[in-house]
Amino acid sequence: MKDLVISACRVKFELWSLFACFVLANVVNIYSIISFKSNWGELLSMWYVVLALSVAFYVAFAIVRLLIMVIKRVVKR
Amino acid sequence: MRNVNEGRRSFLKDIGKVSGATILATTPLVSAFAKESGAANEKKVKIGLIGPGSRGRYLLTYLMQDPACEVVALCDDYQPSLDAALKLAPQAKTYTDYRKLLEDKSIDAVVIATPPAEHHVMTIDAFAAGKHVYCEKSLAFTPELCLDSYRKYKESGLVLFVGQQRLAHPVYIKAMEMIESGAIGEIQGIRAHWFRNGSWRRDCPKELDRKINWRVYKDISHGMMTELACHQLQIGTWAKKMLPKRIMGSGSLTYWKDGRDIYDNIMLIYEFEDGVKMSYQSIISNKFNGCEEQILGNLGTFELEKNRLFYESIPPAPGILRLINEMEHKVFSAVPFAGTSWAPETAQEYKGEYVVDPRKLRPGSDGTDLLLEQFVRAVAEKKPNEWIASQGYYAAVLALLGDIAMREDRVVEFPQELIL
Repeated sequence: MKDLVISACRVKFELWSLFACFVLANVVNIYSIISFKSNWGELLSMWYVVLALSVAFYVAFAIVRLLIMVIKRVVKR
Repeated sequence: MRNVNEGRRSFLKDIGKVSGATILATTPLVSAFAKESGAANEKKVKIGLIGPGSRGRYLLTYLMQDPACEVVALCDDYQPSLDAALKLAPQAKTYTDYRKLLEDKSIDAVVIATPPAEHHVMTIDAFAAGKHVYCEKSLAFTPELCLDSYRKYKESGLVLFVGQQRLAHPVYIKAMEMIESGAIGEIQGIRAHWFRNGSWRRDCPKELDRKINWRVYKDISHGMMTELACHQLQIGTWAKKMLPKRIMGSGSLTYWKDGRDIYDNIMLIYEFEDGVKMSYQSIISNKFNGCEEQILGNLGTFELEKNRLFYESIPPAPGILRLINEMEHKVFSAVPFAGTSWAPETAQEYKGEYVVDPRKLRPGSDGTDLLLEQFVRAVAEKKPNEWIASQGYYAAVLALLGDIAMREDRVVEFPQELIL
């Protein structure tokens, strides 16, 4: 079994991706508060939904990247 | 002659005057503190229990846990009940005649848990003997005897509590505070019911039937009115701060036709002066709807047995959950074979709110333990609680007038002479 090497560059990229997903989830929360005229307290009180949404966005982004990588490999052959 | 409205206003005044102190004294935290100080510093209240049947022994288990009191005497003319009680209070002296128990000068207070037909004579004899009284509901067997018991209590200067345990229950106390502060707006209706499925009969030899199954005989008990309704009717007048103007009802025996002469199927309306009605229904051959008291205001509804408050205007779900819900519906409604898999339905289903955080309630307590604690402390401090005594009196009168309305098949106007 080969050793798996995760470069510092890769780790940085993934962390920034996660952060971007978190920001996006907060933007979605702000949008929902404005459009449904909800309480601005939901910026904090819905932290667990924002967190779940961040993870969902990150996973979706990961799936998209995986699909692109697979397609690229197939095309190269 | 005393004006009926004046009597009703006095009822309101009495509620307002003492409710604050009573509310403070009944919070579990204060009760617990009082329990500790009682154990450490003060002489124990000596109690005699008259009628240690099933209810009496239930009270006895709480009394035995209270370090501020000591059960020193038990009285029953049914030996098996006495034997069962002695297992809980082995040090207690036993009597078969309550009058002999009352002669014991060391006893400070009595707890009366006999059938309702015996409550009046035992209560007034206890006051005459200088004993404080905790009398199980109802206070007496007729409205007139209730009034006599109450007058003897006032003349004696002693403590009288009636076994209306919801008076001490934190959920009810908190709900009444919230009603006072306008949480549900103006009360528009009160609905109370108690549905259960059971005959109340216990197996016993024929010669002991009236002694053991006293609940099903109208010359010993008023059945559902004095056993069940009196608890819940009192909640209505407590919330409304008003006595009803008139009472109507209908009772019948529809299922448990086993020789009893009490009803097993009742429905009543208690109408207040302002047109608001309190309805009461009880059936003991179907338990589907259970037991509940609902207080309906224009802004919300209390369901007190469930410890719940429901507002008329339901707060909407948080924006982000509604957005996700909308998006999911848009996606899945376009796909014929898929359904909404994780629609946040909890945001749409309104389960109401707790009146009191359940973690702050004593597990398994229906208020009986708290009421008994208050009684013991009132006796120890020699401080009668006028509000609790009057609430116990009116609870009995409401139930008994309802029974009269059903048996005589007429609308009963609340008698002026029964207003304190």
